[in-house]
Amino acid sequence: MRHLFSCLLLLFVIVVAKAQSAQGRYHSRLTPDGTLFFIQPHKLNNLSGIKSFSYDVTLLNWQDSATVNFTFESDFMEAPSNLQIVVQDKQFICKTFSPLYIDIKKNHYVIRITSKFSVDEIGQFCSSDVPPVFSFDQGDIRMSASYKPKAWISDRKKLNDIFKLYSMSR
Amino acid sequence: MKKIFKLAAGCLVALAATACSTTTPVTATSNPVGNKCGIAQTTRILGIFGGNADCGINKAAKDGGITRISHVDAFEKNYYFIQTIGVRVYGE
Repeated sequence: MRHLFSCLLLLFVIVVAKAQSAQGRYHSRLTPDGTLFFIQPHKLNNLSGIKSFSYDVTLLNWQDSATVNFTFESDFMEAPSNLQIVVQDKQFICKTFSPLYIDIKKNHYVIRITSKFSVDEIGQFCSSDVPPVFSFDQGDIRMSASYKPKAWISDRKKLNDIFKLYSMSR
Repeated sequence: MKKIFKLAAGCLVALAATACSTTTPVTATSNPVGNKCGIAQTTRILGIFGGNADCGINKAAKDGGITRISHVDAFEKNYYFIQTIGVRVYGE
C-alpha cells in the first residue's frame, strides 16, 4: 500500500511539475525583426455573451507593440468595436484592430480579430493579480471573456516567465 | 490484488514520464522569413473523440493572417490517452 501511495505521489509531482512549466506554452524563433515569441492559443472559460474565446500573442523583440489575435464564437455577424483589456483597475483600449476572417460554424459565427497592444500593456497583463478581462461591443451588446481564478493562477506564472524571457532578449 | 495495483501505478508513472511532444518539418518555401505565426490544432482522446477539426496549413495561415508562407512545422503531443496534433505556419 505504501508503494502504491509513493507511486501516485510521484505521478502527482510529475503532472504538477509539467503543468507549471512554460515549456510548450510558447515558441520562439529568429526572424529578421529579432526573436519572435509566439504564445500559444489559450481558451478562456469565463464568458459573457459569446460561446467561446481563445487568444494568442506574438511578441517581437525589436518592436514596441505586441500582436494579440483572438477568435470568438458569437450569434451575431458583426465586427466588434470598443475592444479593450481590463487589467485590475486599468483599461487598455485598443485603437488598432481589424477582422482577419468571419466563418460560419453551425448556427454561430466564428470571428477572428487581430489587434495591437503596447509591450508595456502586455507586461501588465501577464503580471496581473486578478484575471484580466477581454471585452468588446457587438452592436449594443457588451461581450467579455476572462480566465477563471484558478486557471489564471496557473497560466500567470507561465505568461510571466515568457514575458521575462522576451524582456531579457530585447 | 496488491501486485496489480502496484503494476498499474507503475505503468501510470511510466506513462507520465514518457509523455512526449515532437515537432517535425513539413515544408519550407523561398519566401522571406516572416514575423507572423499561425497555429491549427486538434485534441483527440483515445484517438476517437475530438477528431472532427480542421488543423491544416490553410487554417493555420488564416488564423495567423499569413499570406506568404515561409515554412511549416507539424507537431504532435501525447499525454496518456490524449493526443494533440497540429501545424504551425510561419510567414508574413
